[in-house]
Amino acid sequence: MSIAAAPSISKLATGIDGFDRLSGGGVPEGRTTLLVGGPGTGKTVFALNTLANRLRDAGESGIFVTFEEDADTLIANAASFGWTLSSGGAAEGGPGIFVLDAKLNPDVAQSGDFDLNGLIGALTALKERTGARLIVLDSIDWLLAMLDSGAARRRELLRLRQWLRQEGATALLTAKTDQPLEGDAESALAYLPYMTECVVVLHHEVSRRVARRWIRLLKYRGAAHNSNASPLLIRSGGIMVIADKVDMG
Amino acid sequence: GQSKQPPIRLQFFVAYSAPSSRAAMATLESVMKTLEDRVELEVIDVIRSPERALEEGILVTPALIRLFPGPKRTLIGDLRSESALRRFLHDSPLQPER
Repeated sequence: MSIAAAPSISKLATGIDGFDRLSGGGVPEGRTTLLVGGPGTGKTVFALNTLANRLRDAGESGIFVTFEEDADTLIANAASFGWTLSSGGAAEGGPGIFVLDAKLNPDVAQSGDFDLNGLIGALTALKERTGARLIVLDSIDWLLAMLDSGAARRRELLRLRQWLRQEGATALLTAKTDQPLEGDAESALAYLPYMTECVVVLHHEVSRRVARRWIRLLKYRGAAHNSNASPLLIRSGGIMVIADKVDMG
Repeated sequence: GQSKQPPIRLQFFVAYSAPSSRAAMATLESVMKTLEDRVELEVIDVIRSPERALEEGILVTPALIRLFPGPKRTLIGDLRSESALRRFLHDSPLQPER
């Protein structure tokens, strides 16, 4: 009878080797990971790279929900790394990475409160069609910016979390903020770490015209991980993270 | 009497379980009773018919879409302002939004 170790959550390899070493195997499967960092820190590329690697390595379909970037710009960006994205529910069959354009049309008139049940419906249908279990939502700030009050933002975050949980999906949420997440309690962003099992911080700094990027695991509930900052590079083939093996000391 | 014009055609994407959708449905119903124009209304629950939400690119609910008279336009929210709803139903592109 072996001594049962703490129930280690199953992990989904991202295929970004350094990160998988840093995190002891990847992101928590069936859970939500938050990728947080300022503009240009590589959040979107990291998420795209993960989707592309799962498709290449495990033949798994993925969904990329874009709230900010136009679908065709995103598809072109991905293509520049050699990753193929297809738009909408165009699932003529076969695995792929499917983009759901979730940008709210700016000239839509509004009268009163609304919620994100539409997005939940569209996601349900797209997940049904494609069988995707890995879902990226880029970026959560834009999703929340559509809502008028802190209460509405928290309510819709809960709705999203409940749907992800119920579908057993592995989610990568990107958040653009670089102010401290603990910020004011009112902002829903301060609420995010409580709903995400794994928080990854990306940092970007330019000094003497040299751009340096880092990645750090701020939090990983229920798993040993290496939490010091590791260099991150964006190459033509995608993200590289320079990290040694996590010490299970 | 009923005006001879072709009916106003509306699509209404809702989530029956959500308070904002229920409020919007009640407001739309009461306003429609007072309209002279004939209205053709299709109500779609995005949770029961998720495919429709995907195909029509519906993100938020409630979302009221006016198909005719064109151009297609959308009003989201619980329709708390009846006057905004009436303007939405009747405004033609020639008439500047008040």
